[in-house]
Amino acid sequence: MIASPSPQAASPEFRVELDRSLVNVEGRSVRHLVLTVRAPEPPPTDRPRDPLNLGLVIDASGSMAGRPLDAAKAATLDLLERLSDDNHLSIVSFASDVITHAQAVRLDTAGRSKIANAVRPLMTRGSTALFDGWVGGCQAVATRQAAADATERNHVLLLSDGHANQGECRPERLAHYAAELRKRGVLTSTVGIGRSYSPIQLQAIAEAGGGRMHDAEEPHEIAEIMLAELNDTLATTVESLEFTLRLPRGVEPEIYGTTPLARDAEGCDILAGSLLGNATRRIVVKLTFPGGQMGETLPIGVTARWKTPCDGREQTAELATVAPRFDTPAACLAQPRCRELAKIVAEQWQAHIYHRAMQLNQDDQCEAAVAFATREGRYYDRYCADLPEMQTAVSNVHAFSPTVIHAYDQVTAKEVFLRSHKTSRGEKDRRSSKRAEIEELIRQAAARHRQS
Amino acid sequence: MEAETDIFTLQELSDATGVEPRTIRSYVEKGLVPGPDSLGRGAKYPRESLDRLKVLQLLRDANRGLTLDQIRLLLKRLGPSELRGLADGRIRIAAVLDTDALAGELPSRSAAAEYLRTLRTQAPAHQVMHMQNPGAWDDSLPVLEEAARALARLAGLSSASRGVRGEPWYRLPLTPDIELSVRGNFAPEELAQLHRIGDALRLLLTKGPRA
Repeated sequence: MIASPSPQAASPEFRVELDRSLVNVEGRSVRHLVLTVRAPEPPPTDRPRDPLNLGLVIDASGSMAGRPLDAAKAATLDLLERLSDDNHLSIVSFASDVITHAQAVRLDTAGRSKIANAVRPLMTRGSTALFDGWVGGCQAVATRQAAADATERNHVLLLSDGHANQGECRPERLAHYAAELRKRGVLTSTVGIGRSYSPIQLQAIAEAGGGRMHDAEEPHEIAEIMLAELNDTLATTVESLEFTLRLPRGVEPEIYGTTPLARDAEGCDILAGSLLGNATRRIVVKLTFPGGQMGETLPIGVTARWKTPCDGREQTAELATVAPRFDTPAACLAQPRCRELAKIVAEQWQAHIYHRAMQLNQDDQCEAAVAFATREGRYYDRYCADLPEMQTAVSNVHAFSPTVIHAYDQVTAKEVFLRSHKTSRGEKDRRSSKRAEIEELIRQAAARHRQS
Repeated sequence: MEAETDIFTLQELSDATGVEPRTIRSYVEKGLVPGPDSLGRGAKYPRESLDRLKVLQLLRDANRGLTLDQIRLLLKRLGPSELRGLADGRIRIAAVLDTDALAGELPSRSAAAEYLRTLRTQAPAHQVMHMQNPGAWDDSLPVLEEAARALARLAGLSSASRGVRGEPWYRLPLTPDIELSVRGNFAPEELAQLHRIGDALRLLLTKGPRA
């Protein structure tokens, strides 16, 4: 297929800021590096959008029987009506096995009919070979990718309601494969279906795969989430955004939130993923500094690499070098900081505490979860001392810390994971139904524990 | 000019080309540049790594729109003498930068498709079935025989005196019109096996054996 050439894409805007510029000569200073990126405008709606090469991977394991699978099928049929003729769609289902029902079918009249006929009789069967199913979907998309114009967007959308329990299940390996496919131009987004699935595997795939993770708790939400994801994919103006930090020896990075960070001898790589047009993403990196000589500086270089989806171009930009300077403990304490930046750090930090503590809680490490949340809560308290607008957040963190001593139910845990994930990525919750505040869910869970 | 047998550290490669060590490593990971002969700080890179890095930069300078996949294809086409000639400046980069021909070659060489092929050969044995392409079935898998044997083992057909009274039937729908019913008390792993048998039978029922 020949696509009309895209106009030269605009570049994203970047900011690199440290919350404080002095570090203690005696060492162990913690400073926060905030990377802000604003994606360029999405293409005007009157211009033809880049064609999609979409692979839809549907969980057909036994637990999807009834309304979830029916809703996924209905959502797929709905999707068919919304995609124009120049798009290609693959349909793969998985349970114990993997079935490719349609491989890169062009969505003309005959193609729509072919896919509809393949989707309608889809039935549940067997266990959850999520990895094989996802790979099957990627294979269908990659085969088309190999024969298509470079402007096509190659995307896999994986729908599942449960844990992978067959084939590769380890989140870190799933993330590795997703990252490798992303580097080769095939991105993956995921949709978790139902109330009690574990988001860990789906999050690992979406995060490293350059896509987004969504939640469709109720069957009727599957269609709206799929449509939102489709719109998001088409409105993406920055893909596979990755920051590289060159760090002086002894400076240790840690990321707040779920963004993947890969450390090496010279610094670290941070995968920010995809951004919608006009969207702003903030990444907070906690840096712990070694001791040093008065007046000496520690230059930290930041480079960004990304891909513009409209023309598939890979771009690189040397962003900035920030250079915190060693000074006395008194000077470090007295130095001012940007309140706006501190507030951004505090918001991301809170999401990080929730997410990490809940992860430990769900891994049956409840005592470690309490220890982590309590320790972080103390530092958090101190960091927010001069931020009146964050005092509610401080109280919430203190109230949350002791509750993770009891294993949280899957529904609440999933919700905490999702919300903190969305907060750390600055993404919108695409579900239309109103949900209780995260603190309310935590309070309810704690009350249930007290009663039992 | 350096000798033919020259070998380089990562830092020397970086100094000679201006490419950051981290970037060189990522090129190695992506198969654009040959890796070192050993691990660790003292690892040495062959002369070809330097040549490829130089040519890679020349290609990028000549056409900023080239993707790394396209550069990989271009580098793949070059013989050792051509690569050296380009790196030394004896051959002009424009001579190899035929993007029209490149565009023609890309379709059969998708990096993602290649990666997935590798992944499938490494992944644990698991049957993947393609409804659209039954010709791609694994010939070595006698699906029906295997399913029949497994079913016999599972249902204890070889045990003549097996008491079955009171044991429940387990029903597994295969198609809208056909189901498999097996009597017995099954452990979870046996149920999983039963599902796999059902999957194999379903495949045969819907697509038939390989022609």
